[in-house]
Amino acid sequence: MNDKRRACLFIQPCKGQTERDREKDVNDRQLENSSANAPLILDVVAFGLSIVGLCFVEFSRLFFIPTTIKEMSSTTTTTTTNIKRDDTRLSNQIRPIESEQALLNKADGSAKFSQGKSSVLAAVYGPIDVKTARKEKISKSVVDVSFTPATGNTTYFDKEREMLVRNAVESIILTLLHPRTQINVIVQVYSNDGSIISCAINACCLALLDAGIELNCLISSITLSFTHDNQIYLDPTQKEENNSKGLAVYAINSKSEIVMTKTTGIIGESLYFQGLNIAKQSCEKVSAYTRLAVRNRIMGDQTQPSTTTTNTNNTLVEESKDKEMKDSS
Amino acid sequence: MYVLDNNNNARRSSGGSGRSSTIIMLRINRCDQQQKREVERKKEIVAADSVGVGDMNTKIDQFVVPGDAIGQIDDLKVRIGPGLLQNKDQVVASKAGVLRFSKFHKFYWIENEQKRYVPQAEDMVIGIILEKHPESFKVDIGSSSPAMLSAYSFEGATKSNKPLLSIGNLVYCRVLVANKDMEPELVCVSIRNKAEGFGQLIGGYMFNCSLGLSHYLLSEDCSILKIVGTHIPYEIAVGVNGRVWVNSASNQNTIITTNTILNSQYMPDDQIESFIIKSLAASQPV
Amino acid sequence: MEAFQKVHPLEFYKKFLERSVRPDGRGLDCFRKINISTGSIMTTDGSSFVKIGNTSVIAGVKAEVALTPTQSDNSISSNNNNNNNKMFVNVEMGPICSNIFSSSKPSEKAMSLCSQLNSLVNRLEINDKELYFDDQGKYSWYLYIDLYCLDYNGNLMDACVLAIMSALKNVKLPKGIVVESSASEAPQLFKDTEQPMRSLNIGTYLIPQTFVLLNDYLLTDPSLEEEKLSSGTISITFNDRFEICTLLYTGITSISEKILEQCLEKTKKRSTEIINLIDNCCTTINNSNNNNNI
Repeated sequence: MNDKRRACLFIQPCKGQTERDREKDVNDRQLENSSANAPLILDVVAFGLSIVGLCFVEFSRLFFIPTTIKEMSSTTTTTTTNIKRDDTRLSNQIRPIESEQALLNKADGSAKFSQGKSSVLAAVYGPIDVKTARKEKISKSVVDVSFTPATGNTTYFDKEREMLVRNAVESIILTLLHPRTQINVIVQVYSNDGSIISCAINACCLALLDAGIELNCLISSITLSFTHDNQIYLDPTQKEENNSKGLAVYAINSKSEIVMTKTTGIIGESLYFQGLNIAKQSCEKVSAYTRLAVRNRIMGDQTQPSTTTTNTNNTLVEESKDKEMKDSS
Repeated sequence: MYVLDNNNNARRSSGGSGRSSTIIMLRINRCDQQQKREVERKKEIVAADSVGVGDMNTKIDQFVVPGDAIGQIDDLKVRIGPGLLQNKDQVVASKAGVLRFSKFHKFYWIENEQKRYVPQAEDMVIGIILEKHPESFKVDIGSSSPAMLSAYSFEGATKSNKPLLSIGNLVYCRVLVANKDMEPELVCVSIRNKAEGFGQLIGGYMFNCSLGLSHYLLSEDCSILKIVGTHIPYEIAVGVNGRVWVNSASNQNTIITTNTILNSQYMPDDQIESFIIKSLAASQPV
Repeated sequence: MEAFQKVHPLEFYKKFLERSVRPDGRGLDCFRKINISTGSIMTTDGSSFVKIGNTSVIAGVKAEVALTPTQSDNSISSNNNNNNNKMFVNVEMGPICSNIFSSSKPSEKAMSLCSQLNSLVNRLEINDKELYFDDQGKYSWYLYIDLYCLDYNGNLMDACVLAIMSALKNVKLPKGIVVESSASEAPQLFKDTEQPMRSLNIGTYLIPQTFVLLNDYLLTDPSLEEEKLSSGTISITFNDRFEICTLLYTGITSISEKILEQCLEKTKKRSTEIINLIDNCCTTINNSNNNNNI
């Protein structure tokens, strides 16, 4: 990671940030600074590896969910949200997202999507002729997903994941536009470190966009883990998944509608809906990332840091490097 | 892997393929063009307000993703093309790409880098003969199902005088019928029932490229073909299904032309000429 | 009318649903009659037969003895947060239950169902001690639960969960004796025939309920045809403390939060019925009569 030269871009996904929000930010910042080793809070920042189609976004600030901020400011205790996870993340923080598009030559569309150490490659072929005549549908195209794990044969767990990914992906494809055809989506896991279904769905969305298949909106997915002491962790690692009381996968489209949800383990009802709200907000951010990644691929990286922001920009770069150093050590 | 440093120069870092970096160059290239266009467009917008195309103008040359509402169209003469759908009175994007507008044709579409061809009526495509039937041919044009080409749809073809095509031959043809429920139909004559370049492509070399490049080769602001023409006399047929056919006097020249076109998307325009000269020199026997 | 149903199945259904009734005579919220019988297979350690309308599932539990896994083994294999791995569910959907399945390869449906049920059996809260073969817990019973679908007419998830529950209630395990012979040889295992067989103590009930969305109508306990036409399926399983054990929504359209809440509420209402049903397995309860909230 370190040898990759990194240019950064400065985005502000929430363009219409109101004065009140900014105030909230300031409050937030003060709160954060008061605690001993709190990360420096900066504006919503995405560091983009300026390779077209390869983006790396540091969501250090992106995943402060406003509700929790409100909670924080009302209770003025930072303990609840500052519980550090094993990888020093906050409970409402997503792992760094990295993606690359069009990395396969033969496929109509392909994308690699990684969340931390979970990494998935998705390829899309289509619309093509239906191979098995039995599957052919007269009014719409068939979406066929195959999910291959990183190691070993496909088990029934993978078949279930395959079904979940297919359902999620099928809901955004405009299948009626290409009747009697097939759209093949192949998901290959590189490495699995938790949240693998979410990672696969995000990769599929990016690959479908790359293939230029007609979609009605974007889709993004997030996994939440519910700990035994009723904490909600965003984007859990494999270890956190194993130690959790319950897990919930949410796939939410860019119209903020639920298209797939699955839980395992035991989750209280109110907790589930609390998680749903968090998921909706974080899926929005993932969608924003996807949008940025595709934009960078198609339009080139146009987001030039303006002169006023260059200063902060540089410090950010240094900071990210420092962070990396820390990570690598 | 290639990355950009802060001055926007692509440079190589360790590992990875060269594909991504070269694309960047193209983008930079196109970005310049885009900026030029944008300036022109802004002038046009002022004028076009009277045309009554609503707020869709503001999104022209902007990046859109599926689900984005583009705006409303009041003018009935305006048409929407690939990547756009009408949902009640809203126009919604269904592909990720850049919204383009042709003022001449009053036509909106989304431009993206796609590899799979979806047939559209009046498209000019290059097909490969797959099957031979008494009165028709099955032709592969890269779409989901093979297309049908009638043996009588050639200039001057009659029942006793059919074209002599065999499996594997290339034909340059026009899509007559493109319907999602039917297999596409091709013809090898223009609207005036004349060949006008359509028909079998004999000799030469065909290669695949992205749909974006093939559209670019056919567009007005494409200068590569002219530059190549000043050095090498050649024939070219561009199919919008991502297939390009080139022919010239010698195989060397054909190869140079092919390489130039394929590499053109990764080179700034002023480098193309030197690239050709260099290739020509290299191809000469010592 | 039959032709209309064949040609425009969705329109056909719509005409019924507008009048809050389904083609088989049920209301939108009505479930089919559930029959559960247990102990019908003598060669197994526990068995059950569940019939929901025309869907029938037969379950058999086979118990085997093996060394109790050590703690370190346990922590590795926690796929889908399985906290115990002494029960294995297998679902067979052969060509006998429907012509859509082939005998050669297990269908995707069977496999995904199998995966869901495997993680669901861990929610039954069966204590590790319950499965001890001997008193010390050096050896343990491993339970293999095999489910065979005999007739597939929709809502297999509910049928399978009920079958697992009732089959496990039916399980009778003998007490075991371990005789250590020598250090080199493996110890011999005996069944203690003098002591009475014990049944499993299951910590909680699982209350399954499946819904489908069809033309924006929410249908409870769908038949196969309704499942095929539906745009989305919601499967819910509660335990008896009303905590969500499974909540699965899959489909090609989106679902609103309100409908999810509605489904959860409806499932809760049905809990006592299901508990009664499992408790007195052999009795038949006709649900269609006492559910007239349309």
